Amino acid sequence: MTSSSEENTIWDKLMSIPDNAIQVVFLLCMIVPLLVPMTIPYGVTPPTKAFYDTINALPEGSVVLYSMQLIPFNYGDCAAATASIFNLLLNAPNNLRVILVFPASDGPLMFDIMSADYEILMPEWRKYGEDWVRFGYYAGMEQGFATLCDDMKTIFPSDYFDNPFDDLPMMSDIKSAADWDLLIEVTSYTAIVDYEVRQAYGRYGVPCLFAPAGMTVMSIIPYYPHISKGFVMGLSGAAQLNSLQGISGTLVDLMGNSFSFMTLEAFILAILGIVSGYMLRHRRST
Amino acid sequence: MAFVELMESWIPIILMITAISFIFYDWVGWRWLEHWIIGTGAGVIVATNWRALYRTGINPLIGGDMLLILPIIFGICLYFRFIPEYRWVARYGFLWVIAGGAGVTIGGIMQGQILPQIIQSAKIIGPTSWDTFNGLVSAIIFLTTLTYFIFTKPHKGVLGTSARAGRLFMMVGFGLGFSTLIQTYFAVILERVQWMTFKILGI
Repeated sequence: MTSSSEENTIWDKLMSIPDNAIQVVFLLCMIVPLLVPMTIPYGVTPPTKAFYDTINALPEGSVVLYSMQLIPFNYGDCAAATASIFNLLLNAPNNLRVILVFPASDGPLMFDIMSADYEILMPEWRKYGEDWVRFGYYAGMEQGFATLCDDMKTIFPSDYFDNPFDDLPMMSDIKSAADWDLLIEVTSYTAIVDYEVRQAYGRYGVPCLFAPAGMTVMSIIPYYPHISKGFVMGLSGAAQLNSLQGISGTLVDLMGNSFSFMTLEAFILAILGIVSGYMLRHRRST
Repeated sequence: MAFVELMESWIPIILMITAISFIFYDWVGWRWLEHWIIGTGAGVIVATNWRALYRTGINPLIGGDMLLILPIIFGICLYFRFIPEYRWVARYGFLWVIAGGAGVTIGGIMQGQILPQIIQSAKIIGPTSWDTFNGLVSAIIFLTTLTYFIFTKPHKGVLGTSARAGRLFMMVGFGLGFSTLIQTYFAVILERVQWMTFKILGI
């Protein structure tokens, strides 16, 4: 049995902080940086830098298949990255030709919501059908994607707006994965990354870049850096990608800043919890 | 503000608060919302899949590509699973799903996943000394973790030490995985809270 003086050490107090107090601080860390200009400076991680450099180093007019698995569940983490990457693709100096596809049935709907929520910087000279094309959802997961790699027109006889495939000038010389120069996937679902590696990289040698949600990043690490030269991890990666593009003051930056405060609070609490737990265990054992 | 606009703002806010209320207690409002989410989700899935089927199957079939009748028939076969007497018919549909899936997967698995992973794991020497150090650490983690899964010999001596190290590395990996999962939840709640905050404040 421990004495009362032992029960009131700093470690005991730390371990008995009420949950409600932690939740209130957490809420403040979330809301205050959204409303009051306060910033935690953050650096750009090597994978994000590599992601940015890989896109900018593509030859002039390269074809990029931009696949987005946007669903309501991952919207908070993936939408910011989707917007940031789309801005990069549209504004890259190498005039990339971008093809949008969606492996999830909710994707097209969520893409419209994302476009309304986040700022998409579409240059005036970018023309639909010539510089970028939006296809819809492809069904069938790996089987569907394998067919898309072999013959795009079979899966998409028309684009999202029902324009026939043959009427899209950009698609005149893009028929299969053999014509893609890069594949980018934004996802929170590991299986999509795996089958894209098997089909696009394995069968056609198409280089890939992944933008996983935080929870998926451990599953794409095995593909970094030999298959995916870099990666953008969720909301924090999106904020870093924005800073590399010189974009500031957007919703992505605001949320990225708030996210930094939340992560900092969680980090401090985790460290305090580990140290306190260790000290209490040590006291019990001695 | 018109009534419709007011409702457009406040109905999602009320629904969101109802969803978050589940953290504190389970109540009828949350359960109703749960059913609503599942129902609307199913509706979206049916609608988008129907559109995909129409675009890639039915429309070309009407256009004269009669060969597409076969996958449509095998697709319909899957629904016989719901009729007990004709359950066996569904197997003809699943046959294509499973065999086709296996065939498609095996095609790219060697070139896409197995060989590049093995080559990458064996690459220790890098262009810089930092890369070489990273390669060395990766190789040690790879080998020690593998030894943890050797069950044909008792984990004693060198094998025991290696297996213990492997277990530690796996624990670090799982911890990292869990922390990234928490980060996703942070981002999800943050996105909704910022949306609600800006809606309420009218920013």
